[in-house]
Amino acid sequence: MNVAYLVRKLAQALVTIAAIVILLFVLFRAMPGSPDRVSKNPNMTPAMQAAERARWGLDKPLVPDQLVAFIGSTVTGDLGTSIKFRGQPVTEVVGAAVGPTILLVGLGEAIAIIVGLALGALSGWRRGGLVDRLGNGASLVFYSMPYFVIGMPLIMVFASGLGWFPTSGMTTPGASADPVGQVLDVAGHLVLPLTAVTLGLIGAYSILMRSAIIETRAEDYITTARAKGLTDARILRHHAFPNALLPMVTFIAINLGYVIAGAITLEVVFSWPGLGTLTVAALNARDYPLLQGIFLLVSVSVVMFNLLADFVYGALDPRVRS
Amino acid sequence: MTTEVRGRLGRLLPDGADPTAPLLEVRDLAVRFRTPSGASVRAVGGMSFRLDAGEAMGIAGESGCGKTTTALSLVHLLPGTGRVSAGSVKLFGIDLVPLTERQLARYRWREISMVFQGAMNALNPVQRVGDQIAEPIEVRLGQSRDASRKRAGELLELVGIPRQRASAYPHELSGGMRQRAMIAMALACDPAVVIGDEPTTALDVMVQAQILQLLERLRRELGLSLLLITHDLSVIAETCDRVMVMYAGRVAEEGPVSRVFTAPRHPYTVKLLSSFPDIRTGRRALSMIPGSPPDLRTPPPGCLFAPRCEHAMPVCAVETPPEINSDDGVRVACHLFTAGDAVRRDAASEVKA
Repeated sequence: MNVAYLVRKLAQALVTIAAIVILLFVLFRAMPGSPDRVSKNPNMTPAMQAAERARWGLDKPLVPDQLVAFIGSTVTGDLGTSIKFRGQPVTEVVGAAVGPTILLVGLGEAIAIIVGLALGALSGWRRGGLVDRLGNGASLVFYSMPYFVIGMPLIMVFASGLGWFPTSGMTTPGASADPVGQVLDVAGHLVLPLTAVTLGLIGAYSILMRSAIIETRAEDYITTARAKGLTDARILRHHAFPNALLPMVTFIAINLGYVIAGAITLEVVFSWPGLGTLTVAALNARDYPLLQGIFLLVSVSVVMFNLLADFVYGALDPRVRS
Repeated sequence: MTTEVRGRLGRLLPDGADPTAPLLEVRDLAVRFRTPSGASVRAVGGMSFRLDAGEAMGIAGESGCGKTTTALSLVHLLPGTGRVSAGSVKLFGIDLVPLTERQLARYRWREISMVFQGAMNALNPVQRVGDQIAEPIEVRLGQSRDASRKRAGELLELVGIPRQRASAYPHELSGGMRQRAMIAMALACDPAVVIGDEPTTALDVMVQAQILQLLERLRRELGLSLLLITHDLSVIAETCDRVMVMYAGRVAEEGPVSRVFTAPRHPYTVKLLSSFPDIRTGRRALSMIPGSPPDLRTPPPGCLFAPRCEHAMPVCAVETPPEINSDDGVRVACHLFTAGDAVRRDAASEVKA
């Protein structure tokens, strides 16, 4: 792993992001509808509407004016101002939604990676055993369900039914003034959506890890390890697991890239004030600058995590390094 | 711990060992596999053999004749549904067959270690070679990490690899080096028996010769006892004292290499030997053995080789031939030879033809 390799990979990543950004710019504008049509107010005179269009630069031709302006400002780190959130900078609007999403999906990923990999490894190692029959069955069920399908029964039972947890949102307005009370309030709101996203991710990780372990188990070096008289636990930990982890790295990295994108349906079901909910709002309002800002962030995160995957893969697999 | 390379001599025997018993004595070993349909296949049937200290025995035969299965069954390493269904495997007089996994772990690698075929996949691709060699020393012999690493370095030098290469990963070594590293790993715990399962098969002839020389040298220096599994008869001719020819999971013929190779008795041995080219004689068409080995799910009655044997007699299709021991140390399982002596019946005089 040398500097030239690093630079080449980074350059590739930048080109990828640039291409995605331009593609998104075109794509959003190709969608039917436009910001002024969505926010059309019957009381506005044509002159007022024209002034409004001019304010957002929508009166200028798409190419080159709008595109050039967009690229120019993006490069300088200015993502423009949101149309829906009248004049608020996009960076601010997006910034406020990133925290909740990372809290929810990021935490879910962290738990799911640990539990899912462990569950998958044990299932595959003792194929047909108790852990496998229970774990793999449950994993398949959760893996095949969209997050909101896992989330809705949780809301019905634990929020509306038993009333143990709040049904939606991240905070109770005016619930508590002291920091400890606020943290507990957020934690209470977090339980159900976190459970939903974690169960779904555990399902995905454990199913993939299980098949990776089953494949690894048949390798000759596992027979060598058995012939060495090592305990089953040691063979799994030192020989099977590190090898089975390799195909998982790429999958995990791609998944992590989408942490930023949030689980859109999940956030909407739980009214979680994250990027997923924001994306839906921006789409409905045809808020081009906001959509561009969100998707720029998502694509940068996906590309960066893929870059990270390359490096982690190199660290785990000596064959890639040389 | 001493830094010099120790041999087997003077090493403590495991608890319950009988010092007068032969090193390894296998009797009537049978191995069965369960097929997905629930049927049971006898992959190895009634194998008996013995390996004495310091001796090298080759096991020869076609692919699928049960050579590897026999070797793996000695310390219960059979894959999937395979298990030893009958017989005994006595190491220093201790029967390994009835032992549990936990009890057996004591004998794996410390007493019986293996060099597998095609060392590429037999070594863990993401672990340094030195660590893989040190692992059994640390885990099985309870030595410190430093001592294990040091010992791993010595073992690498012993097999002709500079000890600095301990930090290499398997893919950074050539095929021959990997095989040497595998041999060093097999020696890690000073085992009583080393089983080589096609240790030279994936190598080119020059490297093959080097590996065979290495095994020969280690045998002399360390007093190793070697069980060498190969389909390559020339490897056995070069390295082994005795040879056991297997066919369809049974012993066809067994005896000193010098006798079996120069005067084969079993018609299968004859065919097997003539299917190898001899560089000293002129060009000739290599003879093939018509037909293929029997399907062990539905083994024919009597001698398993009878359907392919040009000397088959009526009795061959009915009775399993008994193993006949002759005075010159050769054992053969063929109806052409009668009990008591190894004089061929009339029909057998054509065998060499």
